[in-house]
Amino acid sequence: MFRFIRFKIANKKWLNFSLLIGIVLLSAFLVVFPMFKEGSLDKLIQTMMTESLEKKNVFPAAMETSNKIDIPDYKTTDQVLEFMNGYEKTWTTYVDCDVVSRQQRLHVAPGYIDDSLSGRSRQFYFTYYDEFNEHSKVVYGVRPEDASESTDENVIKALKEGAIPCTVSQYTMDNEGLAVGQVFEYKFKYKDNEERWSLVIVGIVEEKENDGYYWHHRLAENNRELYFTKEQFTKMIPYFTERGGIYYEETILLDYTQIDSTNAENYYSYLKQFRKMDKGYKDNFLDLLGSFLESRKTINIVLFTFELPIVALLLLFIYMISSQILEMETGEIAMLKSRGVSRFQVIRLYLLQSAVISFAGSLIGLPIGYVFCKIGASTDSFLVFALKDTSIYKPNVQMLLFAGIGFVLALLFMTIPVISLSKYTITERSTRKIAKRSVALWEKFFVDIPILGISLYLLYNYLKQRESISLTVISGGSIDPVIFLDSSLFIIGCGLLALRLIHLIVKLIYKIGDKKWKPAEYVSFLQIIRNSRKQGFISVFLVMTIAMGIFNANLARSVNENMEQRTEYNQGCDYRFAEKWGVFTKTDMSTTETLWNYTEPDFRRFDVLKDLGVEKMTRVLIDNKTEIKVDAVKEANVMLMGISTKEFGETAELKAGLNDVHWYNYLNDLGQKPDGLIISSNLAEKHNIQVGQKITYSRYSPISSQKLYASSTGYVVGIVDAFPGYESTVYVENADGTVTKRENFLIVANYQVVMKDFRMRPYEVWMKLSDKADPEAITNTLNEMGIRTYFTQSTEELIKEQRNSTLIQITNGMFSIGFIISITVCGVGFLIYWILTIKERELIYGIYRSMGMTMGEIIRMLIVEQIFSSIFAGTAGFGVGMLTTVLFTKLISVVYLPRIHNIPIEVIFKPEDSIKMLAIVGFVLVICFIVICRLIKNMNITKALKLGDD
Amino acid sequence: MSSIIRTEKVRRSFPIGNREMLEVLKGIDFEAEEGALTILKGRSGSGKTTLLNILSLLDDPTSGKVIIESRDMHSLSLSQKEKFRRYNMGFVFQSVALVPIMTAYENVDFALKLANYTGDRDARIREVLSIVGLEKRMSHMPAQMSGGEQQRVAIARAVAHKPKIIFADEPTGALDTASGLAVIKLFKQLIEKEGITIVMTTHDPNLMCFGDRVYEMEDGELSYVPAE
Repeated sequence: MFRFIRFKIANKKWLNFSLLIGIVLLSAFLVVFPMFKEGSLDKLIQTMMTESLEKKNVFPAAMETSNKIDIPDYKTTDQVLEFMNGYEKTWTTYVDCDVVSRQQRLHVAPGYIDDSLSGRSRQFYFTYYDEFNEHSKVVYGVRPEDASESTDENVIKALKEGAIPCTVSQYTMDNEGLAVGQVFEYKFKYKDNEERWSLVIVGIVEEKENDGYYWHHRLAENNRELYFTKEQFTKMIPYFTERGGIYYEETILLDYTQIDSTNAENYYSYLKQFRKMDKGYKDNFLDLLGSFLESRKTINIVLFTFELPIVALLLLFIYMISSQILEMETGEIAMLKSRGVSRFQVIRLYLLQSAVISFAGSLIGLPIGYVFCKIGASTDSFLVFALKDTSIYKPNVQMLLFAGIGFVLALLFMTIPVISLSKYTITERSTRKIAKRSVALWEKFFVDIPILGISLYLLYNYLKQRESISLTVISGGSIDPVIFLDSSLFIIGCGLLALRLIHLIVKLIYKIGDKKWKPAEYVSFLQIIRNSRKQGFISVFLVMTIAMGIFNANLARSVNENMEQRTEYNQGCDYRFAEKWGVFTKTDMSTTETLWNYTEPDFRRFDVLKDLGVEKMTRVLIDNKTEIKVDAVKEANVMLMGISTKEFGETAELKAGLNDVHWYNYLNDLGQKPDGLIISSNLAEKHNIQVGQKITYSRYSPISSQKLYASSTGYVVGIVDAFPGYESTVYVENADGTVTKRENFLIVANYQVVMKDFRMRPYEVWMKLSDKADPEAITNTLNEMGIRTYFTQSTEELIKEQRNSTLIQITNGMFSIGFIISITVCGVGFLIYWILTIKERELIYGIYRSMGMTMGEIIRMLIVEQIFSSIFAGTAGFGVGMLTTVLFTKLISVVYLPRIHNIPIEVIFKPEDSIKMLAIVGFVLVICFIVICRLIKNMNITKALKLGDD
Repeated sequence: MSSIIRTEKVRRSFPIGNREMLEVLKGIDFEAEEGALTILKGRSGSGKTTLLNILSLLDDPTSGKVIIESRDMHSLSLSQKEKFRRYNMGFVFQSVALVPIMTAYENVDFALKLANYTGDRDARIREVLSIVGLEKRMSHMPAQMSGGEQQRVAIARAVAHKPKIIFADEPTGALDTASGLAVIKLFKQLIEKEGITIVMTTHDPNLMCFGDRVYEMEDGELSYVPAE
């Protein structure tokens, strides 16, 4: 049996080789799914964790608990610490990640103690940190262990009098006005005895590291604490187990790089359990894991919907090739049937043959899928490849399962055609051959019309729901996969309709020329018209490949460019940062009001950045909580921007065409009028504000968000729709997790006026960079200069980050791989179709040549056939792709971008994308055509005729 | 009657590997008279098809001359040969070889187009199809016709543009005896009606009696077979 199968495969080796290519591609594309998915999810979770670390400056995987022990069994600090270690053991049993850092803090609340210096009674905590000395440094004085070495007279004296040495943090010292040598008296009752402790501050301490590992909870979080040695704290324990208990706080930081897509879901459920079971338990990554799991659904859906059309195309290819093989073997099958071989035996034979090829294909597909995944992961845009670190995309066991699915699917699609063919004996086959239809089934039953109708109906409905889809996506909800699939459905429906129209056009052209066509054209037209079923298959491939390619290229381009434009707009300039300023506060004793004063650091310090390519720089004051009053009507949470018009105009950038006139005109008007104001059009519309109208605006105190502290008045000089760094619509997340859209209002005033009327407050620094500037070097320099920032944002890096974001990477990657696969299939299919066609027509060509037809005429015949089949199909594919782009881009873009923005979603079509794609298709077609022409040229008439005789 | 085709010492060799050559035709002197049926008989592999291909300018001899209508065909270029074939020759093959996507009518029409037939094409198609007895099956596709019917369409196609010579390579090879006889009778009828010259190969001894002149091919050598 196997020998027979080997013979059968070898007998049609090129067809079987094409079939193998199809199965390899199918298997490869299927195994891309689990590998790309897992890699993308790992990348996503790591990005989420890193973003949390970078943007919020908080270590992203912290678990902690706090409670108290009031059982006398715990007599020593070590015993309490041992008890606390039990938490860590329990947590890490479930959340199996290495602990990168732990902080164990014990404290007691003794009540009020008397300060010997001021005589005031204050409440201090007695605290012990495990490994405190390793992670803290003494900024003044000594540690309690070294108290005897203190040179402070008060300390020496207090120690002599039996005082217990302790330290305080710099923060507590500043806030409470303490000093080294200060002594506290602590009196309390213990077992009916009057106890009296004397405590002396021997040193001031602060954190040794600033990396946030050990000091996840910093000293400043706990004011009024006195720090003791372990021995001393142990001595205190018995007094407090019965008097309020020993409070403990256990915090561990986990190696978050060990949290990945495979364990995230389990960890999420364990964290939920911990929260449920321990009231004192807290962590800071349950929500992060929750939103990751939501995003996972989206990624699954997106990947699935990107896979489906290509898998369908590949299955169609496999079906086409195996049908072709079977068609050539119908005689053999009928012969076998006539000789008494049962239908089951025929099916089994083909099933076995299919299994051999499918197995080989699926196996080869595994490493090819790995390569595809790496290629997809290195894309920067559609068919744009960059050198990227793709190490996060690793092979996994699931790939075997998907290769298995590929095997089964290929097997099915190869064997299905046998089932019907195995019915006929040799006589039935002859009858059937005569009755064979020349029109494809879809054409006969008008399948294209309902497909197109359904896709348009779905499109209409989705367009109506665009806003709610956008909100669902923004709030992290799942995407409806049909949004993506609808575009594929449209391409299929529209593509088939286009082919139907092409057939009608060809018929019409043929009819117009009718008797006048020369022999070559005459044969070509008849060939296309009469052989549409067979040729339709390859035309369907061409239409689908080109349409999908054009649409995918345009969609990827539109999403990428719209995203970049929006980032540039939101950012407003090339580089922004906000420096942390020191604030001086004091309480006015007479009014109990807290007074504040900011000191502006020297702005000229940043001049050194000019050497790094900073061309322009300006101060921009931004306050999102300004309140305005127009007549008697108030509007809160308005965004106030204080700018120096000339510098701002030179530094910031705004895309042309977003306002009625160029935005420099507004800046000029503002620059000429010190109390002028530029306002956003939505604010003007809401309160019916006209140019020249007076607006009063007030700001809240920086240290009390409830208190307005000053007002200013200005006159509207311009109303703008867009302004650098201003978004007119913002999306706000509600407590229930839903997202609602909110109007954001803007007023822009002169910087000097704002500073004069509202006093100096921290501003942002906006910069324009030269083309050669390296934003990373600027950030590094700021760090080296010791400038503490709230944030640093480079537009270039933000765009780079977005290009690498999971969803964009998947889109660019899958579209590119999909295109490579479909063009390969299309090329192979095209070549196979034509080689077979020419082989089939060999005798006919021999006859034509014997009848005196020249080689030139035969080539012309083929060219005409190509023009009206391949070129027309290609053009239709291009048209369908463009139409799909126009209809679907704005809908699908809401999956990636908020619908409403100052920069509306634009369908971006760059001719170079289509040219690049059509060049690839053209190249494949030309290669195929050259092969075909060579085949024909090498054809020997007499040999062809002989073949016909045989 | 004058001869329309003549050959002088035609030889044809084919390479068979190891730089060896197989001589299929060994100095053939052949002559076919105008308006007559010349039959080339011989066993399979005797070289009759090779000779037919050379006579019909589909193949070139290794040496020797092919003279048609007193012109040495060796002097013609490839395109001149193609043109000559197009206007002056018709072909009928064993394999029938109709264009499968064309009806009987269109198959004949195609030959007329190819030969730039200037007369009333429709009338001519109907005429030749009626000669071969298929006037009622003009719109049928080849797959809808029997082997004999297909061969008759092929003959109609071959004669439609009024060629001077028809080359028929085993035209009855794939047909049953009755259909084969019908084809030969049709050839005779066409010679009478249209004055065409027909050169036909066959290995069927029953058809020899229909030939005006019969040659026998054996191992690349041709011998004249006198009429019985």
